Amino acid sequence: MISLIGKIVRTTVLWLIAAVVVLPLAMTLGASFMGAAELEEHIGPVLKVSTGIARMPLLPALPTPEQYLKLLLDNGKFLAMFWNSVRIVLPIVLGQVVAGTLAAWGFAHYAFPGRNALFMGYIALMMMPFQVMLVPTYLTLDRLQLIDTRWAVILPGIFSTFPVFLLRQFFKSIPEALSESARIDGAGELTVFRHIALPLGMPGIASLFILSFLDYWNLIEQPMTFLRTQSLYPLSLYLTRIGESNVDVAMGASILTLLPTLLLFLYCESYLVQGIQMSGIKE
Amino acid sequence: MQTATHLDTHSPVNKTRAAAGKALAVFVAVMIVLTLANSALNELTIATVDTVNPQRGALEKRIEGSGQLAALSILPVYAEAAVHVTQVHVSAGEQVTKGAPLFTLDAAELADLTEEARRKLDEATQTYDDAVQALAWAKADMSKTALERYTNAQAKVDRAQAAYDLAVAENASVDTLERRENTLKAAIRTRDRISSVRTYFTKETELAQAELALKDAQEDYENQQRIGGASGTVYAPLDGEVLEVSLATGDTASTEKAALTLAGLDGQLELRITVSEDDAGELAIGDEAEITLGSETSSQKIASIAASTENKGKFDICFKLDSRLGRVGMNGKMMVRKRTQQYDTLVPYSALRQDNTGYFVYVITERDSALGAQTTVSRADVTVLDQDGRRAAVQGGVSQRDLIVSRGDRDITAGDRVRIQED
Repeated sequence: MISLIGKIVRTTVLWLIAAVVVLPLAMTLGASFMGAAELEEHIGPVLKVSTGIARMPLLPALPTPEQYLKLLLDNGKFLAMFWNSVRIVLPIVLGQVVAGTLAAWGFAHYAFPGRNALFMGYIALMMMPFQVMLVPTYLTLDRLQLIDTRWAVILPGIFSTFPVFLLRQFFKSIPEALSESARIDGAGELTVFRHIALPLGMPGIASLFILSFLDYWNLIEQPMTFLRTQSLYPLSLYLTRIGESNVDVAMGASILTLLPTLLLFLYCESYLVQGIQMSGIKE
Repeated sequence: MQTATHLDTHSPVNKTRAAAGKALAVFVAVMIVLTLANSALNELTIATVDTVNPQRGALEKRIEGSGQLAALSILPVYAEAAVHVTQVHVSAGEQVTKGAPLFTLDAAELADLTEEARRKLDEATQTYDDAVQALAWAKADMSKTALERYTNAQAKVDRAQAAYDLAVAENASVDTLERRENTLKAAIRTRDRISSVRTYFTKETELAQAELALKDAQEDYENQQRIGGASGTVYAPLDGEVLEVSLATGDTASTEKAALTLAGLDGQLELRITVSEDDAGELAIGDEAEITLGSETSSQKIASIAASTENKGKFDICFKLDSRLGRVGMNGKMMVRKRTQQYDTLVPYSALRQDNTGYFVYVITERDSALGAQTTVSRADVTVLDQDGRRAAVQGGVSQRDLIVSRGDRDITAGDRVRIQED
């Protein structure tokens, strides 16, 4: 009886927490099907285009796809920024996979002088917030004449430290015996990496892919700092510029920005779970 | 150790994964299609415009018009007798010299008229002679005393008349008016009773009338003699061009209506150009103008500017031209170029646009946007100071550094993206 009551209480609490977490997303989705007038009526006070109290009902009174049509058909600004995001995020993620896997495999399976100190350095850099690294990063990029180019965001992203940290943990779970047996059979280091590290580390690589995509798709600080030309701005900067002139498409823009990451997450979720599982297995 | 390749393909997780993968692929495909469509649509809807920088300079106003050459002196020629026309020697448009025959009247009819005039002269002479005789007799009948009495009586009549006229002018009473009228009548009756004197004055008047009649008859006779002496032919009194002939052979000439009209070729012609009031306001007497007559162009000065009598609200610009430049009736064109003061900002007239708030131009602006550097147009309100139909002097809103839209291949509004036409 007590256990049943406890179960009910736990379930209820969890449902409440889940509802609180999902509520903003549900409101945004509902509001994305509201017309300009209805939207301004509800959230106008927040943006100071009208007075009163802001409200956000879950369901629109007059559903309309007006916001999506405006964003996708009226002018090409949203589409241009979407492709800017793709052109920034995909090279970062793919570059991280290439650079991160190589570095992580080295850290995980090769003993060299200063390995631990170097890895500590990676962790220290990973701990530092962007604001601390802002000035030296800006000066370096400026010296390389990369400011106001996409490479100013891509290159620091490719060579970030988090992929190395994450993949090292995955590669460490691969038994050393497999590598040794491959070497005995005559495999070179590159062959070992290609035929043992990569296949067995795929869950980790997939986890890296999705986590990095999520991180860099919503990147704001680096584009805002290193990019000046508006034609280079990614989608993450579209939402930051929502104001009086484009409040009527705010919610639709949010949903469309969220959609690729959500779909990609659902597609790669199993890999993410596998990766977490694998990291818990002891040899 | 599990690997990703050994997952159950029919598990709910895999179904979710497959659905998410398909949705992601569809989403990307839709974005690609919309991007391509948007790009194609932009290319079709963006206006192509010509641009120009405003410049400093003066406007050149051109005032043009056309008209016909006319003679400065016009002379109507009359037939001096209302007789039949036996021959017309000239036609309209023909040039004649002084003394050239214009038309001939019937000589027989003229002779009859001369004879009639002679007879009237004889009658007038006889009447005059009779009047002289009658006056002599009347004078003989009139005594000196009667003349004195008549003179006094006439003086009384004059005084009574004056008193009566004064009473009328002063709106005197009825009694006063009646009394003075009676006085006047009485004075007249007294005067008329002196018949011998009255007769003398009457005869004197008749003699004067007979003298006048004689004089007229004499002039008429002399005129008829002169016309008949020329065998009825009327000659051109000066060198000229026949503008209009109102007679034909067999017609009866009229002494009151001109038989034909001559344009005197005294060395000058007149070109009259009708222009609007606004254009006339730009011109002044003495301004140089290009006058084109036929294929020849010359520079002439404006002789006069006056309100047109034929076209209300317009003005006639007149030029005095040498007759060697053209002929009466020839079409002439005028062009006057007037330069205005220097203006800082001149724009093509085609760049000016107007709405209910006034004049404005579109200025090219480059702005940075998510779609890259975009060329758009922004509105700049201006005040038009002057214009000459091709350019306009404006003030405010634009400077010589700005690039303004002179024309476009479609309608544009402020904020529209445009493409600048490459030369």
